[in-house]
Amino acid sequence: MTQRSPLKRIMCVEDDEDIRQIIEIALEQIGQFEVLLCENGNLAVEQVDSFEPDLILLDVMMPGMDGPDTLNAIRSQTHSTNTPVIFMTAKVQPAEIEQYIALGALDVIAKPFDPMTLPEQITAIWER
Amino acid sequence: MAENMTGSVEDKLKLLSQRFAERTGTELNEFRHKLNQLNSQQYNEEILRQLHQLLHRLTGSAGTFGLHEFSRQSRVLEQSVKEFTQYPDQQSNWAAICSQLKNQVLPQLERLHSLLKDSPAPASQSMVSAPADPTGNVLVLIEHSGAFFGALREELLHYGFTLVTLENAEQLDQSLSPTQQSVIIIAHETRATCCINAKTKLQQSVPHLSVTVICFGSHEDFSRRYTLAAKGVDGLFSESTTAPEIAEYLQRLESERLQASEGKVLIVDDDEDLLEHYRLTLSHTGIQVRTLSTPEEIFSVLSEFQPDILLLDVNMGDYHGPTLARLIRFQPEWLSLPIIYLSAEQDRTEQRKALAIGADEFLTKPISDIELRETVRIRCFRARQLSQLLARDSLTGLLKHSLIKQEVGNEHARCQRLSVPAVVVMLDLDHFKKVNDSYGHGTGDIVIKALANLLKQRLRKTDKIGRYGGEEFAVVMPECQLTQGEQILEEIRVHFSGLHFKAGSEEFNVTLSAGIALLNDYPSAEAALEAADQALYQRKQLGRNGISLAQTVDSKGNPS
Repeated sequence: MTQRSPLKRIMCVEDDEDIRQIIEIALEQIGQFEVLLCENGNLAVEQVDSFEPDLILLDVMMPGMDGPDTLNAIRSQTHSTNTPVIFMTAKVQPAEIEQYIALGALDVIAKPFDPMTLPEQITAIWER
Repeated sequence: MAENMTGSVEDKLKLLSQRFAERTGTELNEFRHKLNQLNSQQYNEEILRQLHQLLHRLTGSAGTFGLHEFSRQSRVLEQSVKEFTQYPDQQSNWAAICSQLKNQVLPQLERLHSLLKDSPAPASQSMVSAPADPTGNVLVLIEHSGAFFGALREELLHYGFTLVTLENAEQLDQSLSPTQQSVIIIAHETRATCCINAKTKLQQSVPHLSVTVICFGSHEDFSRRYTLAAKGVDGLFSESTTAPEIAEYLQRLESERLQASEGKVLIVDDDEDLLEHYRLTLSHTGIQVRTLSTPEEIFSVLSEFQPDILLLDVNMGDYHGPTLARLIRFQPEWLSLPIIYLSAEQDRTEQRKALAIGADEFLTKPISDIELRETVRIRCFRARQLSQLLARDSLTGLLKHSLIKQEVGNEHARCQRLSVPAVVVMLDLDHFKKVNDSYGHGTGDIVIKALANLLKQRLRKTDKIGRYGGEEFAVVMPECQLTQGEQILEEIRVHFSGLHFKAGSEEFNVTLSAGIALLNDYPSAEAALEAADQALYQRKQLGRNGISLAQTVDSKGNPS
């Protein structure tokens, strides 16, 4: 399923090391994607142009620069002005989801997610 | 191929889950530690934020690692912590928030922690082997139906004890932090056997832990009490015991436990290898050891080190131990210092002669390590107890008037030397005469003791507390700013006013007033004490049950 997807390169911005690792395993080994992990928004802004991801997976709550800040910075300071973004958050109130969509996100993935089905979930959003 | 791949992924995920559970266990422990320490601290907005962040993160991640129930409960807890962060006027409600954090949030954190054990990770292993960090005492109450238990729990909370309530003693090992040094279990006497079993089990898995089992019940008869003692119960009180009495008892247990591992010993011997051996033997006991091979320096070392006991070799080249002991006794300040001889002298008559010259005991060389450790430990403990008895007010166990004044003086000197802030507090019970007149002096004493115990429990270990007069207390708080001191005192004021006293069928509350001054603002300790006393007086004029800060005085002596 996932191999046929045009989605290949995913950048993931997440401050929690445990979650970064599990996302790496899920996306690389189960989803067969090429993955770049960033532990904060600043690194994401620095590396996004050279990695040229098809999709950015962005954690909402991070110390310092949070998810929405990072999205703004990527849009305003880099060439990746149109790269689709999916937010990940443990707050899943409808109002907040709407707010993130309004910021230009494709969708929101609720935490906790199931690592085994994460690639499917992302692909489904991507193909919509 | 695909199956192999999935297999290895699952292994990796499992490994990650284990690591997550371990790390989360450590994090939760650290936080429990922080919450446990909250009581004597000032307003701490940061801790709420951190706690909320931690829970938010765990809510979001635990499910990913297969800990679904953990994630669910963490979300519930996250919500309630969030409510705290939105509390109107957090600062002035801090005492209430603190007590809720400790009584509601802390047990829930503990429950969360226990859920980690359901994960494939051997989380419990890492829990026990984590490095020891003194967090002091935790009181574990084993739930019991009945009014006595409920009232006891509520009163103990006012004193600032860290309380954990469990349904039964078997849950104990799940709710302890690895850094805990001491646990006191309080249970109804019908649960005695169960508690003793839990104690035995706990002490096997955590050897450094001190566990005390205290039971309450209605039985007063000898044989019943004897049975409980035989089972190994450490303490027993009846349901007619008042909360202040229980608080006092618990405090005494705590201070004995602390004292048991405290102490300072000076060892004088001309054999340096032997000294090194003594030092190493005693090094794990927690007792501070100073060794000296040159008796000429003994006076400077004595006054600088202030040991609780002195171990003295009998034959040291040019010097003779007993003569040295006599010389030490020439100085009035060392008249009561316990001296123990170390000697190869086997002759009882010779030993007696040496003892007659102002020493207390004879340890015959070669001394076994165990004998040395035990003698030093017990002697230090007794010496400390004795000097405390002499220095302390017999009703409250607080420092006597002259000694607390001396402490204020010492702290004032330290402030001047190191430019660190410190405050002095004068504290007085409101309308105490009325308490004595209406309920009698016995009840008045109970109120005084209750305040003393509350102060001991809620102030920091480094703070010095004295009974200044009848119902007047003085406190010195080193490394403390005026506003900090005010907050701590405010917390104490609120909790004290919440204590219920009983006289016959009547129940009443007592309040207190206090005045605080910054030691650094005054040229002398007396001036600072006077200023705190003035502030207290002012408080009484303005209306009691409150805290007043002393007016600072500028160089011309005018209030600024």
